[in-house]
Amino acid sequence: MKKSYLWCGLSFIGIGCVLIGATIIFDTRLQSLLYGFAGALIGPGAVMAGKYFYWIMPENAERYKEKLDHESIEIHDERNEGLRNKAGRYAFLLSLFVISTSIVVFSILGELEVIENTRIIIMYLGALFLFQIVSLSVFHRHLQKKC
Amino acid sequence: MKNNVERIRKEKGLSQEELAKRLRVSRQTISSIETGKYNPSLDLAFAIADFFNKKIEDIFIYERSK
Repeated sequence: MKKSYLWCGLSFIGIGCVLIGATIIFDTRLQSLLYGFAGALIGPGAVMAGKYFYWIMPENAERYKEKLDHESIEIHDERNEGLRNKAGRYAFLLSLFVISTSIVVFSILGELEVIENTRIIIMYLGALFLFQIVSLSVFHRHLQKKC
Repeated sequence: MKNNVERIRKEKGLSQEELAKRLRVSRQTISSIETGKYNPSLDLAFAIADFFNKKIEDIFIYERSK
């Protein structure tokens, strides 16, 4: 296993500890958010460091080689690639449907005064919807030129 | 598209797992090809033909739609 994996894990732990220190020292409204970030960095960082020390043990060398080989096959397997592309297309279409439905639902809830200030939510959802359509078109054109 | 992958693999005494490893694809891909659920790319089809030392048309049989 590459040493950079260990350094990455240790960096995560380090940044997480700095965040905890900063949260304790400075009284801020973002305290809970910073604790959340710290936890999200320290946890995976510790897992990465632990994995590194586990897989560099000589008795695990053969299994690690097999694991890497298996992962490489799974990633580059053409059927898996096709299925991932298909799944992405379905997820994209579903997200367009959910966003457009949400715009209608928030508009109704706003008009009925069930939720206040729905305008900003509707504007955000509208922008997100447009962004998805535009990015689809941009990627499609780019790929058409490339392939 | 029909294929003879399963028959030829069994003739060679190979398991799906072994064939998959040799071709560097997943076992599910071999299984899907054998059951006709998945048609391999030309690259993989040629790799299969090369591996079995046969012509591609001896393994994959294209059925033209009527």
